[in-house]
Amino acid sequence: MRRTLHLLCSALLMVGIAGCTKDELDVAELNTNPFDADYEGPAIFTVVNTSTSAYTIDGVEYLRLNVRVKVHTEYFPRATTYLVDQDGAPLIASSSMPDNELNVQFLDVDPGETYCRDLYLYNGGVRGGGNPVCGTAE
Amino acid sequence: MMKRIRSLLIPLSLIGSAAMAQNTGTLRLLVDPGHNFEFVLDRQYRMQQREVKLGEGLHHFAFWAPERMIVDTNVFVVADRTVDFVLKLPYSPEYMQYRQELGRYETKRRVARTVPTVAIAAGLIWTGFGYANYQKARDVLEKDRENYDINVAPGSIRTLKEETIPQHNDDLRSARTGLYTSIGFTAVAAGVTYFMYRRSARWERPTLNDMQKVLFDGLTWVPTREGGFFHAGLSIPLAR
Repeated sequence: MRRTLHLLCSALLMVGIAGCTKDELDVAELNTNPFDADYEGPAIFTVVNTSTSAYTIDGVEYLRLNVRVKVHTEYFPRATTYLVDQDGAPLIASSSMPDNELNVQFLDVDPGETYCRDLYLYNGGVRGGGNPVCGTAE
Repeated sequence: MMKRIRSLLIPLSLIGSAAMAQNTGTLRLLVDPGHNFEFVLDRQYRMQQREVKLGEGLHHFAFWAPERMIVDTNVFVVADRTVDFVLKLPYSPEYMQYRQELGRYETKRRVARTVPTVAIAAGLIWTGFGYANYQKARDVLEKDRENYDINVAPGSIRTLKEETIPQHNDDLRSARTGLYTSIGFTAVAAGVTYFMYRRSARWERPTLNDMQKVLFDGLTWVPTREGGFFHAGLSIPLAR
């Protein structure tokens, strides 16, 4: 009788200890998916190169900063199509970026000035993760 | 002393002489219970047999069997005839009371041991279900985690983080509370069972105080082929 109860209590203790482990998912720690708006991993968008070119409107000459940006699809959880939200500028579809690179343009820039824009992954009408890209006009 | 011995030998000689004179009748005793009844014949001779040959005339019998009442009766024995004597010995009041007390004792003991044991069994089943629920809630959260890792829809990820995972976290906490409660219940039931087993083991089992036997075991003469002996009953209650 006593041995049976000891075994029973030991089994209950083991089950109790098994239940003691903290298994809740901490939402704040979920930030490794680039399509998550809270993404905090390596930069999804990085600058490949920058160039400055002139353009004319109504006889007035302006400078344009072109920033070549690479989308790091290797950080994606799986191969997928996607859009890039340029924070106000038109969306760019992945189908138009066969090499996963896009041009970000800044118009009417001043030489020596640095210009930045936030880029985001975009799918299903909602923004995902992103980061700013910057370039300096020459 | 000689007078007493002579008085004891007289009935035997009477039986013997009666038998020799062929002036006897036979009495077949059909008594319930048939296997262990005894009787005292003519308030003197204690016997345990199913058939007696007696001299013609009226004889006194005091029948008794364990747990039964003493029944006193007179039987007239007719010479050269065999007569069946049928008798059912009623249970003694002490035995009936003993049976009631024993029944109550056994019921009480059975309840005292069965109820907490059943509670343990129920607790174990509850714990099993609680553990299964807990594991299920963990699995659901693990699937949420996998879903997060492969999801490429920001809207779906937002729903997952703002609604689905918090809900499943609550489910897990609820399952854990249920598991702890069931473990606690089972442990308490185990403790109560142990306590009740020990306590009920010390409960005194009712004993039969067979007063009818005491009365029946009064001093009697038991005739045998070697001459017979006195039978005296002495009851010493050892239970207390």
